[in-house]
Amino acid sequence: MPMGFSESVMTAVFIMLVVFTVLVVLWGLIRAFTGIVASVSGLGGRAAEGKSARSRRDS
Amino acid sequence: MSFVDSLLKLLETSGFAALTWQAGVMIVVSCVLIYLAIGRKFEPLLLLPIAFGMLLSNLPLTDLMKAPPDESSAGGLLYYLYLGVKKGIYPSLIFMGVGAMTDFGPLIANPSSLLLGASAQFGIAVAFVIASMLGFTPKESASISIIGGADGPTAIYLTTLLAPHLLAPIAIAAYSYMALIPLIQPPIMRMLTTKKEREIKMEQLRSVSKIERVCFPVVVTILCTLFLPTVAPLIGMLMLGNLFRESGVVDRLSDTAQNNLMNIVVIFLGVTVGATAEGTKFLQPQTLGIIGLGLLAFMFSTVGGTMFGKLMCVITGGRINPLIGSAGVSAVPMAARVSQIEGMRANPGNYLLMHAMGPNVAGVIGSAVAAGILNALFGA
Repeated sequence: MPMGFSESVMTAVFIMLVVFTVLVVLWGLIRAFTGIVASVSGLGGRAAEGKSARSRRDS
Repeated sequence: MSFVDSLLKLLETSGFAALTWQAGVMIVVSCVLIYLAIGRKFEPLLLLPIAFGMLLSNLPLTDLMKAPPDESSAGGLLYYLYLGVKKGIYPSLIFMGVGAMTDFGPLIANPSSLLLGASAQFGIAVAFVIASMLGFTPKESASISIIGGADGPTAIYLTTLLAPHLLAPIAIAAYSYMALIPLIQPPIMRMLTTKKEREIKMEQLRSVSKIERVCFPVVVTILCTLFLPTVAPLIGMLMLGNLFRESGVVDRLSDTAQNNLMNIVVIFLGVTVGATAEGTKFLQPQTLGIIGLGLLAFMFSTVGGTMFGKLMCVITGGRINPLIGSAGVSAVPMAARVSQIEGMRANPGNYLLMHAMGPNVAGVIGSAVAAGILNALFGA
């Protein structure tokens, strides 16, 4: 049994809505994760710089 | 028995006597497809096995696709190979190979590409509505509309679940249009964008760390599967293949997934999908409808991606070239190459390939998600 026009339009809108929702959430997750990785590697980098500065001072 | 009688008897038992006009037409069609694959190099990796499978199944009395009459008898060779399509095994294995071959780096570097990958599924929605209006059932409409995702394995996967009787025309339409992307997309892209927009040079993408690359497939699998459990076979296998690639500790598995396994599955999938195109089933008016709707779906997906690219161009103050939007249809890497070529045509110093790869691989995820939704809505 074929769908009526309004029902098929609603279904199509729903499909696009869910596709966008999933990919937008994924976008947010990737951005959040990238931010965490950047800050962790930034902290690691600063820690390494501090360590080498201390070792230069000690020597 | 005279010589003439013997000759007549031989003729009666041969395939010539059983040859119908539909089978004859399909044999000609398969020969044309073989020519297109070899002579014109239209998606030859899939079109050649599909065309040969079509040829085999239309040769009379071969019974290659025949189911065994009882448990003690054997069925046709292609009947058994077809079980991999029927049970959704081959498309998922192909997705594993695609995952092992795909670099998601451009997408991770510019995650807003995901929006372009989503908007380029617009053709699925449009084709669904039009197919419903033309009298196709919801399951058939869903299977036809997924052609707009420009992803062959996804189209085959969904169609075997929802409308297996339409598998041959849908698979052939999907792969034919994927091969025709360099002809279908550029006029639409040029029509929807100004020369100034096409000339936009985009900033170089940042480098992506290994930890991001390794975590990406795990995060995508968890998120997509939690949202849509029906998408697990496709997204799960895609991301498993990508994890093989990015982990760097299973090079042999990664190599097998993207080469040997992929090639074997492509042979089985192509031949058996082609073998479903038997003349009596394929030569129907609805086949023309499916081919027309598939083209519409492709065109509207390109429109959706390009228009969203324009929107992002405006929002970012002209930092995004809208041409990369059309790459959101998931034909990897053909659609990204088209964006690159069109960008270079407008501005010879414009290199959009890596920027277009982001929406391109996002489109693979987007079309798999769309297939998952359609399966959840209309599946058993």
